[in-house]
Amino acid sequence: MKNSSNGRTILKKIILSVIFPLLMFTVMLIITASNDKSYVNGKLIFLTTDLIKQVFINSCMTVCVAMAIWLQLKNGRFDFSGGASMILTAIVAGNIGIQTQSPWVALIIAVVLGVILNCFTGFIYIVGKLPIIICTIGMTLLYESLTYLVFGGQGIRIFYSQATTSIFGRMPGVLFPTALAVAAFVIYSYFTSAGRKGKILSNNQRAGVNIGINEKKNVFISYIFTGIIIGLAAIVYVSQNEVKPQSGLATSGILFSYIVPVFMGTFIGLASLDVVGIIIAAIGMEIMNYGLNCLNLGAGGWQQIIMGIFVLAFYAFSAQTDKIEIFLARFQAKR
Amino acid sequence: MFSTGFLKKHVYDLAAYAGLIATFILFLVFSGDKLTYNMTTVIQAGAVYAVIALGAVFVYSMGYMDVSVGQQVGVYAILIILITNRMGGTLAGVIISFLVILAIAMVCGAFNGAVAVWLKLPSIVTSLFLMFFFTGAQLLLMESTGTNSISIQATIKPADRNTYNLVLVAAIVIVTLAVTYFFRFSKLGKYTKGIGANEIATAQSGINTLKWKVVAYMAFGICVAIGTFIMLMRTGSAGKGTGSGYAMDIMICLILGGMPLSGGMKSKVSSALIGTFTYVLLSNDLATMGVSLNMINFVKAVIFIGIIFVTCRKKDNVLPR
Amino acid sequence: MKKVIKKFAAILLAGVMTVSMAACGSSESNKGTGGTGTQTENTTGTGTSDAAENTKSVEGKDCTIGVAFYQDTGLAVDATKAYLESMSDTLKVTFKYTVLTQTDEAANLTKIQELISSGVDGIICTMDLGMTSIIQECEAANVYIGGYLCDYNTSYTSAFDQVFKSKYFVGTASDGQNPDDVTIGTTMFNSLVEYNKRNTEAPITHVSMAVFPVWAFPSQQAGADQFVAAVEEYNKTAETPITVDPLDEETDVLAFSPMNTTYFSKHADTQAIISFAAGSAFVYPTMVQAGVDKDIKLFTTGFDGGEEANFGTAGTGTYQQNMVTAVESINYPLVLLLNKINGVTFSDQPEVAERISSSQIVINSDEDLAKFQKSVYYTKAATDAIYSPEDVLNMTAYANPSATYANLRDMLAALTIDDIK
Repeated sequence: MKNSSNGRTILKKIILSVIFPLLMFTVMLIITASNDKSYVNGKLIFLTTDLIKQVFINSCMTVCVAMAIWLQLKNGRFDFSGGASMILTAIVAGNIGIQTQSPWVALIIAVVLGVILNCFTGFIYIVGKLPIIICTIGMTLLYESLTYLVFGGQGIRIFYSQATTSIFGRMPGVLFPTALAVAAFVIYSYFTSAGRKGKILSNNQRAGVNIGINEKKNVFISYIFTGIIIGLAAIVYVSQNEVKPQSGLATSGILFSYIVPVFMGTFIGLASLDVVGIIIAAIGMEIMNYGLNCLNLGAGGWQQIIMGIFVLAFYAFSAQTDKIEIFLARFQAKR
Repeated sequence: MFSTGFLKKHVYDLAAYAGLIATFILFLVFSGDKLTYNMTTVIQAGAVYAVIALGAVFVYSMGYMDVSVGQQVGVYAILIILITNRMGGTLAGVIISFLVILAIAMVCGAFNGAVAVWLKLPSIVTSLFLMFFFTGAQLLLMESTGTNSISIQATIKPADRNTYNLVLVAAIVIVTLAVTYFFRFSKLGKYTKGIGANEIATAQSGINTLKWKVVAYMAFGICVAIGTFIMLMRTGSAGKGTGSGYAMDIMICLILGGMPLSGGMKSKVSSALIGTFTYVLLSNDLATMGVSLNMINFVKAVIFIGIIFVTCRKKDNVLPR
Repeated sequence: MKKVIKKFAAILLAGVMTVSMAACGSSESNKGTGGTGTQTENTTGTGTSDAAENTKSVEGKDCTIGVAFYQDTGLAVDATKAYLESMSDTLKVTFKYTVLTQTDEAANLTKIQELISSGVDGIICTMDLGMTSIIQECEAANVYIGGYLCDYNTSYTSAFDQVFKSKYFVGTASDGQNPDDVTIGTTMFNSLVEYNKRNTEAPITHVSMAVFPVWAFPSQQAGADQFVAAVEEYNKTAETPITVDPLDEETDVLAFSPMNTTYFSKHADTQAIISFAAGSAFVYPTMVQAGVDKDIKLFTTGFDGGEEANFGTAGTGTYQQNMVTAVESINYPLVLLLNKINGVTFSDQPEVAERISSSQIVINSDEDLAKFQKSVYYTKAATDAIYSPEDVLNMTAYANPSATYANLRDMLAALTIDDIK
């Protein structure tokens, strides 16, 4: 009896989790199928192997960045500097990768540098006792300015356009850093005391500190894990994109472009785990993006507007989460 | 002369003023024989930031922020040009186009203020939505024109450089006086600071916080519209990237001026002016000092971090968020 | 509260003072507030066209020229900087650099104002954005301006009087051909035919194209039309005709972002991409991502570094043509600015500033690549430049009284692969 109810719960969780990408797929299929632009020689380009390839490749990038954002956010901190440390890491790792012609060396450098930069951010935050947004804006400006000072301010371009170095930007190589990022996130969240204490601190910071949690240590550890994930995100990013030096908080724009799956993921994750939610949300969003690409709305004004409406609608919906949860609880209680 | 109590209490203000004075001294020293020309450029670049930052004081004093300013400025500039040109570049066209964007800006303000409350969203989300929306609108508007840059067919800038500079200073003065009045001597400022300090307490003392949020955002909208017009006076043209970066620039200006991002009672109108001119003077200083292009951003970042270390440091036993 | 009001009053007062000083200043600026070398028309009291023709060479003045690039980095930017720096002593010019945005007029105006603030006597500008206000600024500050790697098409077609007729605008050297003078389509076609001649067993018979939007680069669209026309003409007599996919508005027009992978779904049979847009940056990476770089050839403009590994017969052999404008083309605005700053002019100087097409370095074989790798563009070594600092000094009217404008124009036509030392 218990087993069957367990099984049902799991099934329900799975269904609730995958419903978003499935819904997205269906919607995009209908839209693309009814639009002439999506047909080439009578063939619907939405339904090609490209779909799976592109959705997975892009989802991996999204998942890595989203994990990094969420790890800090779930601890109650919005880290503005994630994008800047990712770009700086990507430039350094990419250049060293080109010099050594080894994507593996680049990967290691990326993770190490990601950890160093993020720990430095955490250090400044702890020592400076600055409000997190102001502190991370300052760090963003600093890391961005360093992109002009490393490797002659050249950024890195040829890393991603060389087949030998860009293995982590394509299938199946891209799965490796992504899996590591997910693993780092899971280890932090569920298998370290820092992760659990972080939860207490995010719920009630003062009470957490008062019961003896060392908040500074907690922050520092969270930044080590964020650093690992940022480093992994950087290696995927530099394997897929030209990375130019950035200024004027432009990197926050790069960060923002991956933020939607974070919020959606945490909501979808209510049905299971946040990490699952983020992965599912990323896949769903990338299905949407691919569909928009097939309609040639992939770049430009309409994509932005659709994205905006999406953000608002999703937020409006998730803001009512409490009510939904209460409703679900009542529903279950009745049964 | 200064008691330690005074120093402690005013350390943020002093740091902000010191920043402005330092950049101004450097400005005087390094401008050389270009001093007068440089002053005009500082006024030209500063006027836009100053007017928008002054309006932003209302929003920031509530502890909120608006990330859509830049894209709003871009779209409004394009709309002014399109409407004015459609009306044959007449004065009536300029006035009507300005009224149109003023109305849109106020509607957006109301949207930011009200929708966030109705949908129980943090106000940054509605401004995030507006940012996406206006980014898209800006791209679509420019695509519809089929060019990279469109120019206004009316003369909106005084031909004489001195008159132009006077107009800019007058605009800064008028907006400053207006904002100061509303922020210090009317209910608007009192309530927005109250919302920033403690929204629940403010609401419980019988104040309709929704109404005042909407009014504050609308006031900001008016300043954005005026700021857009001043920006348009500079170049007479607009494109896909017009206004980009303004939201962040305004935030940096206010932080440099000592505005607490959490809002509340320490919010000051002077933050907007001090911060704006520190920021603009700093850019000018770095150029006249011949700091190499690659180093400029680094120097700016270090200065920014230095200032926030003094102005934003908290003395709580928990880490500030 | 009194204190605060006092503070405000102080700030306002400072503002008013600033303006009054500005008011005094601007009238003075007409008397020549420029740096050491800006003794030009206003001080001499003669306009450019009236400037005395000099008969003996004179020493040039020390001066500062600002260069406003279109991006921070890249092979062209670095090579240009290296080339300019190598000439600094001979020409007695200090160069200052800034970077403009590609989409924001007001930001560009601020950048130019900062250059002027820092005391430049002349500016070389690579972007045509917010140009009318920039020219006004130059007029107010008595600073001359010229163009490089830019055809100034927006200004040319919509603000000719304000920009080209301004006596502060000296003219521009375009990045390749002007829109009314296009040869790029023919060049692409020739490279394709040369490839087919070398590869008779497996000639390319099906190609597709890529361009930037016509509103930004009208010459690319014209180039594409020219290419199609050349192929059609060729097909009339060819044994193996070439198919060209017509330009697809949606996938083939790149909005300054990398090509979309759906390009390869839409052009499933293409054997080569003819990219009039910057192919190394916007097309090739997408080819690598999609895994088609071994099967599809690329004929493109631009060379960003790294192409040599897969050029011609090397590596995957993806690149079969690259094409760049020589950095030495900057000599055109540079010489004209130096003349202005030194108060001299060519005897055959046209009344109104011009935009001149620049010849291009076309690399479409292994031999060409080897040659190109010895150019200043690639090596960033000024000794590899086609024109030495002394050559450039000799192009100016003050150092060489017999120098002419016609010679300067000819210089732009002699910057091809064959001209590399």
